Amino acid sequence: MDPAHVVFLIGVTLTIVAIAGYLIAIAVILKRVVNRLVTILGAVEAVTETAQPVGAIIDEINRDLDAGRKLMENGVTRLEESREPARATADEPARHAADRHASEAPGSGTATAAPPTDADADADEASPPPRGTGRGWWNR
Amino acid sequence: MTLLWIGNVIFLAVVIPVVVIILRRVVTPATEIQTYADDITEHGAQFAPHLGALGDLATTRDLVKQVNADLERYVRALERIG
Repeated sequence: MDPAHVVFLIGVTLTIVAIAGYLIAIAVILKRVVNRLVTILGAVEAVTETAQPVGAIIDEINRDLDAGRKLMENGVTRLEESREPARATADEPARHAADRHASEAPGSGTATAAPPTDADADADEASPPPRGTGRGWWNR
Repeated sequence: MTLLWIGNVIFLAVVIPVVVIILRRVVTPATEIQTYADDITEHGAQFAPHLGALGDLATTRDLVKQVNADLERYVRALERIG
């Protein structure tokens, strides 16, 4: 066999080996990539199944929270409206009492009562106020 | 015979390097794709545990309903007191 033919055969063999090696490497890489993609696809499907009902649940939570907020707001509004007349009537005597106390301020008049003694303090502690006139423990 | 030697030289000096270069240009993106796939798998595996709390949303919904019911009772009690 001629040496030129031998060199040619060696060259062809090298080429075939190189092409085969690279193709095998590409096949191995693609197989690994496919396996990874299958894993990723499974994870994505699991995440999708997990997150699918979240929107409806969050909507429901938002509706409930909104209903609670409106409930609280309406309750506070009704309370404020029911308190308004009572406060208005309570302000009137308070203003008259303030005027009366202003006229009895120290230095503006004469003292007519003696200072309280210890006996008076004991009497106050022993006798509770009359029933039905307050919200203390004696009315329970 | 001389032509055969010339052909061998061209074959060894040109054709084989060109084949190798072309195959490397195919293998390099495939290797990068494999690296990216590994990276996605590694970080995608950490994605699922973070979604574990989504299962507690049903509990949150039920608790909000209970809070609403208690809030209604509270407001009614406040109105009775007021």
